[in-house]
Amino acid sequence: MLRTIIEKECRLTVMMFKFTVGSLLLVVLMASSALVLTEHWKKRVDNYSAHCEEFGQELKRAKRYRDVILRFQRRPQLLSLLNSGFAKSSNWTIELHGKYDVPRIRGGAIDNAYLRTFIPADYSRLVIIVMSLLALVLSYDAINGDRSQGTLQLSLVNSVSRATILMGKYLGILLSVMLPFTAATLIWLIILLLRVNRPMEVEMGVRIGIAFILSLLYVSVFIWLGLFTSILIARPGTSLTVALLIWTLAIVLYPTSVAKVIELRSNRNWGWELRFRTTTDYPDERTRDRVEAVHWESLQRAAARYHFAQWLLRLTPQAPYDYATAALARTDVHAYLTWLSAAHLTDEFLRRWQNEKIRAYPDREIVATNLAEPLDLTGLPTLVEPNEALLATLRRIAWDGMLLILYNVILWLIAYFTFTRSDVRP
Amino acid sequence: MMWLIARKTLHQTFTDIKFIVAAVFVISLFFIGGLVSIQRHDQLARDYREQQIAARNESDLEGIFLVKPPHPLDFICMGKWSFLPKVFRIGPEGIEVIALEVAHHSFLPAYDDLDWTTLITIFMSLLAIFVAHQVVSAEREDGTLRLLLSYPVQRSTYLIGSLLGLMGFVFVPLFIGFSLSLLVITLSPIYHLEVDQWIAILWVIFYALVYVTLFIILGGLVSTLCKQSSTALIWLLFFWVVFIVIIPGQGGILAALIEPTPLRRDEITQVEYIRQNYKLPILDYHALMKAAIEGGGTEAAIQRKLNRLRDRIVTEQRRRIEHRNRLVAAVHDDFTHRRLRQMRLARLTTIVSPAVLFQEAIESLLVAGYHDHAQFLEAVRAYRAACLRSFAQARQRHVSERRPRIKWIVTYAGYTLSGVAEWQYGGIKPDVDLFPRFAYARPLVKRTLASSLWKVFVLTTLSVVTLAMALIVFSRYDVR
Repeated sequence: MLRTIIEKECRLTVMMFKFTVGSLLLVVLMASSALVLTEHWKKRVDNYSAHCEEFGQELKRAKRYRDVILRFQRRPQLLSLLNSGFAKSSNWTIELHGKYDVPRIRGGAIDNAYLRTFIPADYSRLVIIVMSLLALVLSYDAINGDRSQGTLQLSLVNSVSRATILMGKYLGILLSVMLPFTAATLIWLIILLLRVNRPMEVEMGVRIGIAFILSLLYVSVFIWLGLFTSILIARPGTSLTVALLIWTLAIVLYPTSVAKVIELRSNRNWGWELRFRTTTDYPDERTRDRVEAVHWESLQRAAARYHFAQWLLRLTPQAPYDYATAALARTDVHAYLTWLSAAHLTDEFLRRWQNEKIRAYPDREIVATNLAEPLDLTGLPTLVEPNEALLATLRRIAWDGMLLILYNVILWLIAYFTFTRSDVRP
Repeated sequence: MMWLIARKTLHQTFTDIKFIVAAVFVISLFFIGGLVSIQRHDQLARDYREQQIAARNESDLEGIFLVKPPHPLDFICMGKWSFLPKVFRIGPEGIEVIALEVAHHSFLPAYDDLDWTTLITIFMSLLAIFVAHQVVSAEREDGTLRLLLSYPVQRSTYLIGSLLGLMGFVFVPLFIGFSLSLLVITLSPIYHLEVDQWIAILWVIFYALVYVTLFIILGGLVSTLCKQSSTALIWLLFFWVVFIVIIPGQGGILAALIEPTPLRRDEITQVEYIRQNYKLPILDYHALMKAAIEGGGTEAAIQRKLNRLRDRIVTEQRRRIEHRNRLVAAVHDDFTHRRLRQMRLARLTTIVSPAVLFQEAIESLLVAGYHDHAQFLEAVRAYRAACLRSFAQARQRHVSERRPRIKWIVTYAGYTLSGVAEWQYGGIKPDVDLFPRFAYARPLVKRTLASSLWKVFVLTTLSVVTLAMALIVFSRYDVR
């Protein structure tokens, strides 16, 4: 019986005009997003390789220990198309000066701060906005539409339980939403692979696959939401209003307000900040260390603030989905902070290396501009970019995945109990 | 007759519970937005004061920090305040834009603030299309449209009348929202509004009416194009999502694709390159020194020659450093200019969205957002030009306190010639009597009106074109 209901619901949904429009829109948006973002990704990769080459040449030219500046850039992640995350649209670079200066963070948003005010529509953002809306639009009249036509009463006369009807409706809508969504994802993936011209790795495939499953979980939350409003409110027009209201609250209003309130609660030590940004002549190493410590501490505070905001934001289904996909794409704040910690460790090594070398060749410390031969760079530390393994990522996003499932279960239970007590007469 | 229809539509809308719910929602947003603005403005003012103190403490004869004051009308338009640089450093080497917040990784995403602009562009437009989607199609579904048109009523009269009625309905929550927000803001001790700012507020309200009208007319057009009101709503919703939610965010990437981002790294590399090239060519002087010594003469004569040579070198150094500073300032200026141009391009690529057009109109009217930033940069540039002489004078005055940054030594045949290639003046406070005071005043509304009015004119033209299309479509509409 469940199968019959699902089949019928699927057919009904697919025949609908709004379904066609929504699907077309989704495919067009996904394809254009993939086209634009792959193009942008290529630029970033060019920038990255130019940076690496330049860095090597600079090292070769160095004649004093002061000139040995380790400049590491974060490799642009291909999966940033999935979720551009914190990295947004630019590559982060860190410059390590060892004992001579504090580590300087370049690139990233600093290249052009104005551009950071834009939010690019990557895969996950399109899912968050368009797919959730599509799910609501398809499900807001699933129950009350049937009720006003009288068909709900008729189907309940047959020996079909209400749970079966509800589940049938849900699965029918989910399956029909999956149709354009799978198509859009495939088109997105094909464009990505063709434009980037790189064979698909197994790990990347798994990451995209998990993101796809998470997207389905996210969409299904909104289907349940639509079904719930459809049960609760008799008139389809009103239920659409309520569904839209909830959508605006969950997708637009709540995240904005939380982010802004958290932003307000940030106190900084502006004096140290200014010194950190501009001073390059530190009188001694102790001052340098102090400035660095203050900066590192304020960075940790910013991270703590962010984590607090994350917990508040998890009240809406978009946040766990967003964080999980960003973690899968290795573009989240966690990945950035890991990279930063690794860089700080490298800075420590660089300082040790400088001290050792200076002990061996003290003449290279101060003025040696007219020395012909380059420095001896043996034993120079380097930064191995920490790439989180798939398993570790999975462990980290497991909670967010659970949370999405939990939202589904809660909404299903609420919808079910409301439906068992609702009046089905037209 | 038109007024009769307008009144009827207004009455009909007011009796529908779902529209009342939506209107109350929007009004409460305006109210909450006003309260949040007060908090935020307070915090920003405090931040500004602290930043100013820090800037005064950290300023020295190497560079003076200038801080951008918060906008007095930031409850109308924040213009992504928290993501734009606010601290600038001027010195002989040009203007440096210090991206404190940005570099400070405000890890939170760049969402919009709950200011009037956001509330109008996102929520009021949603309310407008939500109310207007059923103007024709719902009447047709009820069968009342056929009855109504059997009276001697022109179709255009009917359509315009009902659109007027809807405008009346949407303007009510808009006005209540504005008044509530203004009430909260004028009652709070945080904001101090002046006459010019009240004029600006009136213009903003006018712009808002134009923007909302566009969406009502658009709703009317789509409603006449569709047979069913629910289909019309779906079309409008998708239009809203694409044009109001998604497109405004794409400017950044599009601009970065069209014009390469001016990298901070390149800026530093260029400055370093100039510094390298304008260093003293010590080897040349080595040769000169050799010539002076080998020319022969008494010890005293050689010493005199060497002293003359040193004076020559010092003069040459000063000339080089001045020239270098000019070049470095030009590089910084060029990069800042290119960044702003990229931002403008980012706006231009997304101007197809009415939300972006409206935001541009408001920002250029109030001089907020990146317009504010550009204006402030102009003021900083002018101030730097005025300060250049002060820097030179102050440095003269504090000759005894300066420390050498780069020393040079040339030795030949037992003689040494040494000097300082560059001095550093870090830690020396600038004298108050030498430097002019820095003041930044945002231009008055009558100055900025012209640059923003044409954007509203475009919005109006769009509305008129949409209305004409709606009238044409409705004249061939099947009312059964």
